[in-house]
Amino acid sequence: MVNLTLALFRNARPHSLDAFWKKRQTLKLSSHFYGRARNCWSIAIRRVQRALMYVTEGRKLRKVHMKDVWNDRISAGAQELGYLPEGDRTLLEGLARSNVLLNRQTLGNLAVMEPRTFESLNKIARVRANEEYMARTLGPFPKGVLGKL
Amino acid sequence: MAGITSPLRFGLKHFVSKTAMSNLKLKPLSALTQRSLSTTCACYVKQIDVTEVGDQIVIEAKIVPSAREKYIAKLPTDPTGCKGCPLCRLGLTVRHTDVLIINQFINSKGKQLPREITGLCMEQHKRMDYLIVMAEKAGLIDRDVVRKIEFKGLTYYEPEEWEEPNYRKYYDETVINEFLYGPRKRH
Amino acid sequence: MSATKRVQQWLTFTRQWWLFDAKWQDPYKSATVITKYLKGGHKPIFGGGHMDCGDHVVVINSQDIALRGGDEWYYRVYFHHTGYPGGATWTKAWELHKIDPTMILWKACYKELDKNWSRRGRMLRLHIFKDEKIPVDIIPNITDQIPQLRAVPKRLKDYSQEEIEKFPKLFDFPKEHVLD
Repeated sequence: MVNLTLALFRNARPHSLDAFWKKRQTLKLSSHFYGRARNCWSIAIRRVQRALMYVTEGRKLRKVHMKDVWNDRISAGAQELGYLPEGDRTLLEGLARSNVLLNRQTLGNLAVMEPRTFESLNKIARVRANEEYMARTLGPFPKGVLGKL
Repeated sequence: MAGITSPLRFGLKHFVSKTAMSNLKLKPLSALTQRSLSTTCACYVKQIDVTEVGDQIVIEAKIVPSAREKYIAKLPTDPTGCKGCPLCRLGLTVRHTDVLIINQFINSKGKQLPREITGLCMEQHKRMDYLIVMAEKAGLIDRDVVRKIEFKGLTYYEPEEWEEPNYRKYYDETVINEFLYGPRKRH
Repeated sequence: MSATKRVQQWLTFTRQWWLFDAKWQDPYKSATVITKYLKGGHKPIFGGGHMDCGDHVVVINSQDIALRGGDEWYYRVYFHHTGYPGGATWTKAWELHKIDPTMILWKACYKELDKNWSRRGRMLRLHIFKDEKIPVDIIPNITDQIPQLRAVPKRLKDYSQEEIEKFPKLFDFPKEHVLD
């Protein structure tokens, strides 16, 4: 084993793990903490265990958060095309009825990366919605007024 | 929280203020309902025609058609089975900001016209009553009506001016449903 | 990053300036709309609260805001405590509006935003003016307008007599009716 520099020492791990090297593995996870939780073992081990529990929760929350982000992006993209707030339901419903089976992740990415594609998808949905007399798509949108409040 | 009709919200000085007293003297409520005798119809102005046929002179009073007649809306057949009520037939949801409609249902003093004249059904009549008050309190129409408040056997008259400056207000018409049909069901 | 991509990045994250006319608007309902623009939630590139893609909003006519009818000007109360004993004050909405006609809208937006450190920076991008007078250096920045939530109502006085007469009538007076 050759550890000539400190950078390589960071990843060093012997074959037999004694107490020092086990602690070293944990302290690597606490290396970015503030204060004594970084280096003092009895504080660091408690903080690291709690942090790993947060990570477990965060893995579930990340999926929820990404779903919210896609919904936000679709509604923002729909509003740029002249829909009312919460009018993106009409767009999604129109797409589903015209057998365009794209999920929210794809639509959200299209709204950001390919606005022209999103616009042409909107035209398909809008025509279908007009045919089937869905709400709030008939006639021109009012200017300056959002709707009844 | 006391509602707006509660007299506890007004200070005592309002009850003896000059404006309220002058209202009492000049315009009692009965004056608005009482009507002096009238021989001619003010709405249908009678035109006097004088014709001479030989020795006879015939003086006629012809009824002139009202100015409203040209502008009366064509009512469709009633979809809800409510016969005669113009608002139900048109399916209008009148808001307190539609002053041109509300203005038709009040007289020059600002009092609501009775149902025999307007032809509204009972529900729309009550609804219009609230809308008129809302439009007035929002400052959209002017009324010359003394509002009477009865509380614990005593009568109070609402002061003309509040202590606070009159800032802008808007009303939510959905509360009328609560006035008419009781509180909303909450799950 | 190539030269063209770099320009695209600048154009995407440019801060835009929006105008909002608060005449006859409910401050608490319009705060939800205004804060959406302050956060950048109206853009498809928005990806959660950490994204720094918010815009500037210029609010005019804040002295003409409308609160809900009935008693809201009297029962909407703002609390403040100086920190000393007996230092609590409760200010009614009409009193606050009398002191500073931009304060109610400012507080409504401040309350509506997420409670974190980005709130102060976002509030700096909100410019409220009590009437239509905007500083000269702000006017050329404004590009677009946020639609109002409620239509501005018109008083009966503002209609001409001809308009009132020619508006479609719902009923005609009976024959024996006396106008009063």
